[in-house]
Amino acid sequence: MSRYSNFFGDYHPVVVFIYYMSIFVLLITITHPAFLLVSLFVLLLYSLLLDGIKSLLKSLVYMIPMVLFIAVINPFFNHYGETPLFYMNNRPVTLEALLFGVFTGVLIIGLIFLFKSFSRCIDSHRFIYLFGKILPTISLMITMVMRFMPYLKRKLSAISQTQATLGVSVNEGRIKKRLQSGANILSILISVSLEGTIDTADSMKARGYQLKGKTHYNTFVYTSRDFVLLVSTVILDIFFAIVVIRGSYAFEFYPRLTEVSFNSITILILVVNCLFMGLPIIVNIVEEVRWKLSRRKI
Amino acid sequence: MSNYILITALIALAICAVFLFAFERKRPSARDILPIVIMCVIASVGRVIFSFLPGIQPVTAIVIIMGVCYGPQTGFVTGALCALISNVFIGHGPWTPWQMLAWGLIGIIGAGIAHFRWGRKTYVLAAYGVLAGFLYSMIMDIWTVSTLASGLTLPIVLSVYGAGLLYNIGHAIGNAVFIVLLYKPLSKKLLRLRSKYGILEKEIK
Repeated sequence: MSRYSNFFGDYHPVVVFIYYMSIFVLLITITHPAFLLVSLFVLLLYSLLLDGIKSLLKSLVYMIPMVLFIAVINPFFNHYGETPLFYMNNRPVTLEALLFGVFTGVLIIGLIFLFKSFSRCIDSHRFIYLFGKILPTISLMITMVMRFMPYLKRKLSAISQTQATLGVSVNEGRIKKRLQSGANILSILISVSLEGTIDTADSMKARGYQLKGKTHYNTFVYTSRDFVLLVSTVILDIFFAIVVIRGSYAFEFYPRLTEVSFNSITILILVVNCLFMGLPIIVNIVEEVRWKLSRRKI
Repeated sequence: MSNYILITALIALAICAVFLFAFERKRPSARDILPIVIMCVIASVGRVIFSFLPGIQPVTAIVIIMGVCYGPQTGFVTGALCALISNVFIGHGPWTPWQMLAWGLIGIIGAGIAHFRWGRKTYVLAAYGVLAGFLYSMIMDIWTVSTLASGLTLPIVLSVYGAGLLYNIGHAIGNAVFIVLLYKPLSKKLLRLRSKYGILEKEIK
């Protein structure tokens, strides 16, 4: 488990989902380097708080080759832009194309971390709550897959133990025999679980699966704090919609980089962005402090 | 400009939604959905186990076999669910809709091939598995390409596709091997289940 409890994930799934979709759209709509860097910093910070430094570094190591590839490939094949760095086969390798490649790479890292924190807050149970009404059968199947994973694992160990008494084991003998034993055990597992599904299915039918008027059990209650989060998300969405529509915060890579200026408005945008992206962190810290305080009272 | 990421993701999601809603509309019974669930478990666990090898995983092979044995709709749902579930362990991202679509379509095409008598031969399906490995990356790389949408040129597209070549070759070979190993025993079990309990009979042509 994480060092940090993720209080943000305890909010109502619909509100959390709206929040993450807003951020996703925001991140890929506002293509401003400063904006992206601030967003990336906040996303990395959240990942750091949730999973610790080790996990963060590990996932970064995986991503860096991909980002480097995109950063390098773009300038070599894309010759837009006005500032040539050097020439290759009489075609310019431009600064703009290089920076756009780097930008895209960083954007992809940001998106990956965004989805990481999304899946930390919307687990399969919440996912089913969100989509159960629209896609009831598919959602049910997702829950069942999750439930069958530990079940099949138990089945597998039971089958292996039984087969071991018959001399069929993956732990003894030559490689060929081991592989055969493994295939045997897998085959038994598949047969047993496929046949077993009939029992499960009939039991589901007997309990009224697909009957009219069946309701779903859920534990999610919409409270005032969810309302506060929803309203703040909507207000921040409107703020950024105005920013995008006014176009004053647009950034173009081609043909020449737009100059990045820092005035009161752009700094305001960055600060608000920090707050928006950092909402989960803020919520977690506030809850942590409240928890510490209420414990002290005892 | 980066809105291409959103637009393409929405397109992929919309196509997936069409197929999934078609599945929902049939109101499949509990007996019909459970074999899909079991195969999804095995495929997803297999993908996680094999995730240390680039591109090699049993999901594509199992999706193809499900399509061959139980028809196009089952093939699509198996593929889409496998993507959705195994990504819980491997990592979700804007590419998830693409992955669902890619595996789903691979299942549908597998069912289409099995429509012909020659299509049910192991070597034909293994050859299709090789093709499916490349088809998968062709669909998946639309996502990578869409991140570079501004100032996109043909060489960039080609190099993005080229960069995945090693992965794709691994994927293609893995598919063929898994189909050769799994097709006979698995299809025997699945078809037996169908004739014994009448599962998914509506889909029989």
